[in-house]
Amino acid sequence: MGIKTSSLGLKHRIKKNLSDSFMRASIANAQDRINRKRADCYAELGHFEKWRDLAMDIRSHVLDYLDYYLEQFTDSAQKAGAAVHFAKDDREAVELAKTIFLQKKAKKAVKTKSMVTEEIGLNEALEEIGIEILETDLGEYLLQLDGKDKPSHIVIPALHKDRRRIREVLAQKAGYKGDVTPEAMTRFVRGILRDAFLSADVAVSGCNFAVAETGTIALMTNEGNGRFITGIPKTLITFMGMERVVPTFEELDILFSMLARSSVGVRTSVYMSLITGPRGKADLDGPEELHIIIIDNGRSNVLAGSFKDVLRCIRCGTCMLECPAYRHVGGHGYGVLYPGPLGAALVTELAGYEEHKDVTEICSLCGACNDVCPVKIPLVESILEHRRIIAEDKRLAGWMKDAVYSQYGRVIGNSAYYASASRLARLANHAPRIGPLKEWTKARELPKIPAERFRDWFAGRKRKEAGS
Amino acid sequence: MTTREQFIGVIGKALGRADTPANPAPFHWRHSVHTNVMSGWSRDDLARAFIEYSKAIGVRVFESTGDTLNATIRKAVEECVSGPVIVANDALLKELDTATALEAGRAVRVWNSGGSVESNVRFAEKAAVGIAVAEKALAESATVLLFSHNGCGRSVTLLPESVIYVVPESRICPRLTQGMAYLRRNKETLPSSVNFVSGPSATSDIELVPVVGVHGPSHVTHIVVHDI
Repeated sequence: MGIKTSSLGLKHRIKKNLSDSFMRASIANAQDRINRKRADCYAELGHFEKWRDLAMDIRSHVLDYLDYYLEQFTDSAQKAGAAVHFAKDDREAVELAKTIFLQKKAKKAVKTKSMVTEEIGLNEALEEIGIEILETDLGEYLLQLDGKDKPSHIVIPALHKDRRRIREVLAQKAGYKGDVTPEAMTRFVRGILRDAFLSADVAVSGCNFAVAETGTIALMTNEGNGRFITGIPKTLITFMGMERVVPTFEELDILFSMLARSSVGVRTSVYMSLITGPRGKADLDGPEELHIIIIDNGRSNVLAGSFKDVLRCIRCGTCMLECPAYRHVGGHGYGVLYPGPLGAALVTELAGYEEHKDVTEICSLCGACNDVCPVKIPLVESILEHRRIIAEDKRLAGWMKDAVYSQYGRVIGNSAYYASASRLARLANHAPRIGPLKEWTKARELPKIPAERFRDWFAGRKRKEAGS
Repeated sequence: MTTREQFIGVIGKALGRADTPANPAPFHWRHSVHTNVMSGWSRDDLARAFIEYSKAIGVRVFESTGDTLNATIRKAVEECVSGPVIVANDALLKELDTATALEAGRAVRVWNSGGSVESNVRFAEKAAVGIAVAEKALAESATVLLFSHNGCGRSVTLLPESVIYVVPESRICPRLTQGMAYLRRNKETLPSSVNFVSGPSATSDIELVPVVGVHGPSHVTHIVVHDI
């Protein structure tokens, strides 16, 4: 899929998603329900700020010593029998995967939900060489079946689809004949995916975290596909963003505890699978081969720059569930793989300002995301800094914005200009509602500018007082 | 292709150094909120909390003693759908000869007690019930810690529609903090597959409606054994 998920421009994406009433109601419902559950869950746990401190400290510590912990993880994983590979970018990552598939003469693969494999466009690359790769997270499977639709949330990917659409797709593409209830449709998909797990040549997983001390891959799922992926097929390929490491199991405790609570508001996920190397010599099941592909793909640039804190992200999706802008435009409004405040703070760093500068505009800088991020990423400050870079350093804001704001700066910085401009400001009451003003006034009233300026009124009042 | 040295070198450069530090300062814990959860709770308190939260997440609970464990397991199995039973090759279940105790009326097989690899997995796939013993259990989240190895394959607790976990009360600890510390203490002998499991397989992917039994077991039973 890659980072870019839509070819539409910002205005068209926003317009399209604002008119999707089911998606908007669904996102609003998800935000209200999950945010309430999350708040309750943390209230019950207590000391939210201290838990956040710990999670932030762990992630920051790992980033400060990422070279050391990746070395340690690699040594431990190899000692446990895993093959560890390194990919500097998406191209190398898919090439490594293709090579393993060809060596295994594999034709069929099953896969867990994984943002990093979406980021590198793995599915498309494997399909090009004739590999059938099946998503096994229910939401991702439904998206794949529906003409490779894009996820609208990083934890609940099919949030924008209603049950009727899902039934229609299952009937057309998989021969489903049952009713429209989520229970019946889930049961039907269980049968299809059970067969796929048992017959797949290769399994592909992401990696929530990786334990440096033991070389362990940690996967968190509720459906159990993480256990199937790591339990049944004979070859397992795990893709891992290079910043996913934790020092030991003890730090993993904090991050797992926060991830479950922040992502869906529960004390824990149903399954936490910890995989250390391939199956043991005497084991009857489990993968015979484990390949771990560690991916940079722009992360080292982020690590070196002023947005390093964004790499603390544990992909819980909380920031988007708290975001008022996300509530209205949904994940698809952003047109990129990582939506919401996370996307606005991260995507330009990973994939460049030229193509993705508009993602930073979908934010009102309200700061709700900062207050809930379990690893205390300064999302708002990052987004604001991106906007500054776009306007001042890169000069990518566009000629109209450049002209308007440079004139504004000139006026506001000179008392004579300011005095004249403020006297003429009331003429704006009669300005035609065209261009940006037309867009702006669609949803709000333009405040009426009074005929008399405050400073004139105040000076007059003082004169009157002096005269009386 | 990028080598390990090149890959790590780029990261070192991003961090402003030429060489990887030999031994960085260990992580500094500035709070102890995680170790304070349920701190000082008695064994009985932890067992109560485990049982209560198990019920809250849709797990069927039985309470037993060592003497009555086989009878309790039999009762728990009878409440599951009919069909074959796969039993972990575990020291406790072997000592009690649980497999023989279950044999009346059902096909029962002990994992890795003979037959080919495929026949073991095939049996687990057709089994209605899997039975295993928890390595540890977490009171806060009603979680069982499972070690998968040659005596208890991953298939035993994954493929059957129902799964029964025997939970010795002495193995119940407060939360994930103690579970992870246990794994760290045993890091040299950890099996390839370790799982923390809390209740039945679940999803809310369609309109956020909770549904159980997506991939893994739809029905989960915890048998808490008070005197073990």
